[in-house]
Amino acid sequence: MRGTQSFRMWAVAALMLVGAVLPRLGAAQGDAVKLPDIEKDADRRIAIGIAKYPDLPAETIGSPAENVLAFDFELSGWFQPVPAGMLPPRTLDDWVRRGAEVLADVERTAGGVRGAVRDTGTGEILFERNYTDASGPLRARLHRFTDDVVLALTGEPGLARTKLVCEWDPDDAGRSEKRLVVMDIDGFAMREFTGEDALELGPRWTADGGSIIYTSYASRYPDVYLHSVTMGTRQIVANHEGLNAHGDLSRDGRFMALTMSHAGNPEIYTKDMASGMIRRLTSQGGSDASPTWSPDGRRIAFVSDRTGRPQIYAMDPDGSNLERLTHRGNYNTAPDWSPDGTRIAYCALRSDGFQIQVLDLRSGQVTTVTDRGGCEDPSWSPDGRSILYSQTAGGRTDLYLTNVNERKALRISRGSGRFTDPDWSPIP
Amino acid sequence: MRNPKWSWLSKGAAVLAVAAFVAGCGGSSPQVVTEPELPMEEPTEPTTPPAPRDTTSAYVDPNTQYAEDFRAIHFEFNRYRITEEAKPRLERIATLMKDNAAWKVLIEGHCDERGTNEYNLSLGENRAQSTKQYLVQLGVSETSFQTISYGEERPVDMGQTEAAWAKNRRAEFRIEAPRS
Repeated sequence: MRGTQSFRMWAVAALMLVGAVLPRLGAAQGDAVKLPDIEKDADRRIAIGIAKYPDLPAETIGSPAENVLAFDFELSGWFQPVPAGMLPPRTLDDWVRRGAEVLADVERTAGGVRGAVRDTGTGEILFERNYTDASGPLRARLHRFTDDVVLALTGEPGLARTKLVCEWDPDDAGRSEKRLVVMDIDGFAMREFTGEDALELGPRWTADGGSIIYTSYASRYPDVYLHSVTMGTRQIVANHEGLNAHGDLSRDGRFMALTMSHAGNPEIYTKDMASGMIRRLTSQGGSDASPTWSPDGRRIAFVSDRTGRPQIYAMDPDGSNLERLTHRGNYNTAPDWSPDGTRIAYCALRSDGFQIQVLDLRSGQVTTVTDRGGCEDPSWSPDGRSILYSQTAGGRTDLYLTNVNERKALRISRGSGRFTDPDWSPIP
Repeated sequence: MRNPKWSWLSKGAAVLAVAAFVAGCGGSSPQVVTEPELPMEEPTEPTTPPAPRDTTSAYVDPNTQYAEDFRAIHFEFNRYRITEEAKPRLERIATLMKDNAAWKVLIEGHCDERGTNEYNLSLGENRAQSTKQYLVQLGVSETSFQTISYGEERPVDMGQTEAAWAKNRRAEFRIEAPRS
């Protein structure tokens, strides 16, 4: 167990990089301590004590505030929550004995909530801020507090205010057909997205987080729709004869990649969103699917079974420079580019079932990040450190996320029904 | 845009076709997913009006009459090629279609639940397309068909066994016949 002193050094180094967020620690800036490399030290989580907060009762937010914070800090990938437990610590020394390096304090103030983080060794306040009642629902303010703490102590953006969109099959006798739902990344605040009474599949956020592109059978046939989250309006963006699916907008929003079958078998196309002009990129037999833009817009990864079994390929947006990316196994599907464009996560069928794998495009190295089987449809976190996916096990299908280095699965979806094909929103 | 002549392929006819298909299956599967009410979009192009309904003589839905001939054909895992087992069945369907040139047939492609939804959506479309192409090669007019893929979304057997998956990897047929 690392002591508080080593944490202090680490935190100070982090704060130096953030840029003197907390002037009171400025005196330590002369220490030439380097922020640990994220890849190497990804398992180095800060142990954060989560006290009980009696003046923030569960009924106001659906669950106790300490649960909300513990989940958010765990989700961030940077903190390991240390719960108060049955015999809550009363002093900072009690927290030190529990292994907590820092302690999160949240308390009601006049007209708001004050969040603070203290060093359990010195008692020093590392971050504090007041969140007024006017700034939103309490749960949203707790998410905001977590993100602020993550940024202040690590220099990295937090994820607590991000959302996900996924397919949801209520799986009951009255209705068993998928609809799109949006929820907070901690699985709460779930709502049906379109309100349409039709089969809906394959939702993807646009890069600005303002819209969701998906496939709907509202016309009876599969068409691609673009639905504004903020305006609540939607438009059909592809409804040719046959299949129109797997819509994915380039980051600049100018081009949509998609799968269509009006020329025969399913092929990959792009559509110029301004002129409406379509361009066919593939012309092989077999099933092509799941086109997905690289973050820089220079490549499109997709799935094709042109060799007999589905594998992942990449090509330029005009269809040239085709390269096969996966070579092991005979079932590799559902590619998703990491936000920095250096890795692709995908679903691989192995001897131990469907697993999520990550291909490093620079080294060619493949890493398996799940181990229980039944895992599909990976989606990167906007910080590129975690992957959200669906897993079918024990008669349920739920959403999980895993930090790609630690590979510890955290369940996200709650409640009944089956949750599939999630997509993680950008950071708001 | 979609072929306007298919606009008469109405929701009511689809539900009837499903009911006929279910009847034709004779309870071979423990659970059958029926078509939900789907809202139809306002047609933006002129459409062919539905064929007039003859209320005086007994209308026999061809989906009922030929249920045995038009029952689903099945596929191997992750494959869309027509199996040897399905070929004589498609030959019979081609003969019936050539004898009933007014029929329009909707071919639905389906997959088992394993694997990625997105890939299965393309695979289901290819199953429908390869079925259609086989029938076209047998001399049926290409314009007699419409295809739709449901991927893994509409299984006929909810089981998680090889037998259930085999049932779900299929192409189904819906005859849409003008009533005269």
